[in-house]
Amino acid sequence: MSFFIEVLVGGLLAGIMYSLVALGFVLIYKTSGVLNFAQGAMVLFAALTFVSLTEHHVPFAAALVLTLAAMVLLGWLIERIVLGPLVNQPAITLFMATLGISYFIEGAAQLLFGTATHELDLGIPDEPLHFAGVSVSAFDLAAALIAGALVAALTIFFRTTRTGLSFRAVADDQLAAIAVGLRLPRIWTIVWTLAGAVALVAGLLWGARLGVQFSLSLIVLKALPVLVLGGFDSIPGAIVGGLLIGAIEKLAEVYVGPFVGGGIEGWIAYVAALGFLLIRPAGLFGQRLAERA
Amino acid sequence: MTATLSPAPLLALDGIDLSFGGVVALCGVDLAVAEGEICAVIGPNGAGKSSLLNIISGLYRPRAGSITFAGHRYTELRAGGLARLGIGRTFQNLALFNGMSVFDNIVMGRVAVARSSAAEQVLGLPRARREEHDGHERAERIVDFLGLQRVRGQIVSTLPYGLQKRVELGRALVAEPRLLLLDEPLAGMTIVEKREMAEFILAGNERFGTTIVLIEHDVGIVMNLADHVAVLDYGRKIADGPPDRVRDDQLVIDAYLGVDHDAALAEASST
Repeated sequence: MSFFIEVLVGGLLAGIMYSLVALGFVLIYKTSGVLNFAQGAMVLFAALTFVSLTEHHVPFAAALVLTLAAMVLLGWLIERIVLGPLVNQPAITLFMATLGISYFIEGAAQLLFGTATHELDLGIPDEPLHFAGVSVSAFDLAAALIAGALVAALTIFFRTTRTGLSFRAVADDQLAAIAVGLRLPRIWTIVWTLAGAVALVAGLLWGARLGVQFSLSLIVLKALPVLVLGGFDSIPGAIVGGLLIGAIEKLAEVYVGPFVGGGIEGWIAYVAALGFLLIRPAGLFGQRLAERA
Repeated sequence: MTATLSPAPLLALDGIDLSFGGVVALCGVDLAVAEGEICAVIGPNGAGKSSLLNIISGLYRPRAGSITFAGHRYTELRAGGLARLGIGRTFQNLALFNGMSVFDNIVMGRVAVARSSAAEQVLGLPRARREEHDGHERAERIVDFLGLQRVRGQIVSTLPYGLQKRVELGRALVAEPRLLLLDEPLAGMTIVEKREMAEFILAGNERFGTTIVLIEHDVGIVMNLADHVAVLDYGRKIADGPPDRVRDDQLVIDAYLGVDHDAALAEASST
């Protein structure tokens, strides 16, 4: 039984890491209806920027602030240069644009930082902790706490501030938002900078886990089943979806894997997502189907 | 020509021409709206009422003429600019935040008035907190005023149409606009709802001193509601004045009952 719990907890903690990536998608999708494929590239870019700064002996805190500034600038530029002019275009056009942004960022990151793999040490020890016979990775636990704090902060922001309410309003009806005098470009700029900040946190945690390398941008592919399960426009959905996917992966690997020769972890999430699409296409917490005019 | 007595109207349209391709929507329309009055623009279908409202809203750019509001002259406004000028509006087919509660919808009406930045709100700085508090208090007063207390927590899309219209009016009023544009505020309502809505429009005008321009089909109610009625027909203004005078105007009667349009105009210009 304690082995089962250990696997489950390990899965849930890994799942939080997926949620972190999915969260960046949700922020942008919720307010502008754009599925931002470049979120993975933003995660990579954040991690690369941070690791390059620390390798040049910039102190941790300063590197964090500088990277955050770079992500805010990146988010702002994307909104101003690419998506702002494309306002009112069909969803597929916007999606293609973010695909282009994704390749652009990856290419630019190679030019700036080279293609080598970087080690990233956040100073969080990666050793097992023991709770009542169940061992848990200290790093995973710390990552989950950071992710949890981020989600809590975003939720409070969305729920209690007028700007948070404005985000919900923009997501709800853009004509009405304009009628009450909301400045949509400004709202979207704030959202993109927030998504940049989320990408920074995800980039650091994932970078510390996997090493900072180009395959880091592929974690978008892990975020997709999370979004399908949780719903593309729900912050709680991203969390619950991430937890579910994490748990499903680990449990399937351990308990089903031996019967099919292992390697389940790589694809079970997509099978789960596919099954879910058949039952509940809007996701657990999703408001509506993906299309929005 | 000018029906109002005050020297400087709050809103003045001057020789507005508007056409879509070859179709003339408005032709040389003047309108002066005095501060504090309720001005109704009426006319048969296709007379150009909605076009006129969209001109005032800065959505359409007139081919000729200009709009002056409180000394500010414009021909076109950017999205959201109308609210920042101090002009609120409602829509014929409603533009509410359907997934949000009645109260949140009304609170949203304050955004154009608020000044504090997102950062100030996150950090809870004094100005942001003051505005937050102030906005909620005013929204509360509007909820009371419009008798929406019973449904304040309900999601707007679950309310009957008449109540949704009232919420939209509340969202516009909470910003305390100097001018309020109402696009067919009574359309699609039951008789009872219409009477209630007319009362709220009148009360809003009296209590908040809001100048109101509305366009409407229901001529009967409009005549009781408005201080000043302008009648459009085929893109031209054919009458403008107090309800009693407009009601008896031969051109207006002709426009509503239908006569040979060219003959009617010819007669008008010969007298």
